[in-house]
Amino acid sequence: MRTLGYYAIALQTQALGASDSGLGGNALAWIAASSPLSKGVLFILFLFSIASWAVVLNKLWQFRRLERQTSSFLDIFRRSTKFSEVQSVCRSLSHSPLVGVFQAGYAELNTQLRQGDGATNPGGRPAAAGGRLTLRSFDALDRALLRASGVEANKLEHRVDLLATTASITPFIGLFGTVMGIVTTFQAIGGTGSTNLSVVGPGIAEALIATAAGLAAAIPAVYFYNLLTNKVKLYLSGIEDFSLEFLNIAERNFT
Amino acid sequence: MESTTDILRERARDQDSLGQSHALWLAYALSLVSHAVLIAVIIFWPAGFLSSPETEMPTVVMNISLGGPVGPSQGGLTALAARPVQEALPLEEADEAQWEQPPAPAPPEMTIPTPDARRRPEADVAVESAPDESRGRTPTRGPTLRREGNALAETGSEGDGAGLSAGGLGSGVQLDVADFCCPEYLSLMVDLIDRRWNRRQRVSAEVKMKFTIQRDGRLTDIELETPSGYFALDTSAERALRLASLTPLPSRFASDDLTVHLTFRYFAEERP
Repeated sequence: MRTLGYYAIALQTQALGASDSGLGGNALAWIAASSPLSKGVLFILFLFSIASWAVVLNKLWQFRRLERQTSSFLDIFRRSTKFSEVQSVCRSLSHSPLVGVFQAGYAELNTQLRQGDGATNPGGRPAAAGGRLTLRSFDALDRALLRASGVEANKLEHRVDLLATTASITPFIGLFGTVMGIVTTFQAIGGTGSTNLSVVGPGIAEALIATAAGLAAAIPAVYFYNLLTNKVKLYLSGIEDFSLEFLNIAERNFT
Repeated sequence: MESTTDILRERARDQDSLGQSHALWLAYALSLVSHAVLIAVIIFWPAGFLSSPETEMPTVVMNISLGGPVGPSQGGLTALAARPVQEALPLEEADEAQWEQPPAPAPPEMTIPTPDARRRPEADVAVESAPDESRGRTPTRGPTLRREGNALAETGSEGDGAGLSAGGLGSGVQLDVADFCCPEYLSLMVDLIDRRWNRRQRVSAEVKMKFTIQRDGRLTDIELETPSGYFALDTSAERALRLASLTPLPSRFASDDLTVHLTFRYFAEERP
């Protein structure tokens, strides 16, 4: 046999050469070439991610405005001597949950006082001497405040549940996409009869993108869900505190 | 004056009012835009977003190193699994081994048997064959048999692979397909290229070329990967590739083409 030269050869298959640019420029082509199922999975994850981030942004804006307005409302409430003064600023601070509680309590108070203002109801208590207004039912006022805080709590928690859903569902959706992708890959292996890494590798990598996308959607959702529910809890205790304060003032002045 | 219920209803409706949902739509738009930006960054990041530019992707390189020092011209296909097999050499004519003889028993001196000496008692069992320990290897003396050839040299490489040995003037083949089917094709390819290549230059240098073998045997995408620094050597290597006419890829090979990195090594030496 004739002597061969002094060379060393590195052979490279085309498929392996294509994958060494990572998740770089060819990621678009890669996704475009993937199966409809994995495209669908990625699309669903994309929608979930967009929706959850939109809710996060919306809630953060809402809460920031809410905190600002609540602090100025409390400032006004504690400095003023009359409920009617406070009522007049309610319109401009309507994003604070305390405003809703206050308005409900004030309306209930007004209704009761107006009724008590007239002739003595049969069976009711006569108006107190000296023209001093009295509350007919203290419990009714309490219930009105309770209803108002229920409404405000609903408003605070509105749409936060989407974050919890995203956090718990998207990893599973991604995992589903991955498992189906791996199933397809193994079918491909069976079809070609080749266990070459250059045949198997891209398929599995493509399948794993779905799990990565699911995690990328879920992780911020978990974080912001905890952040927002914690804030909601704080606001709820603030509402509770405010309604007790309101009851105290009403009891002091109208009994 | 509104009743409490009216106020509560008003407050509950507030969250779906236009102002509120306007903010929500704004949030959706912002979220969509930031997602689009993020995805665009990932896709159009210059050198791959996830792989750091310094580290190369680990390739499944199987080193079947066949390049060897200059030696006698002998060659042939090596076995699989990267074990170059030496050419079997004719056995040396060994000197005849001499059996080591136990020393001859000394002749007994003449003695008068003692009258009261008795015979040792006979064994109960008649011995039919020697016990195991007493059999076995016969100790030998003399020259050891030296055996050459047919030795397997462990190259330390792992995995399967195929290679060809060109004997002393070996060519190195590096495969990074774990199961490239056809070692004989490589041998043929190297041989065909070598016929067009003028190896005998006055300097030692290395030129690394890259090319792609199409299914029908055409060579395309011939590029100079690592220049030697000498224009003549680069040109000579490229010329060898352009002139070589290869046979079509073996039908058992699955891909449509095969990209090869080939190093041409020039040695400044006089060889016939």
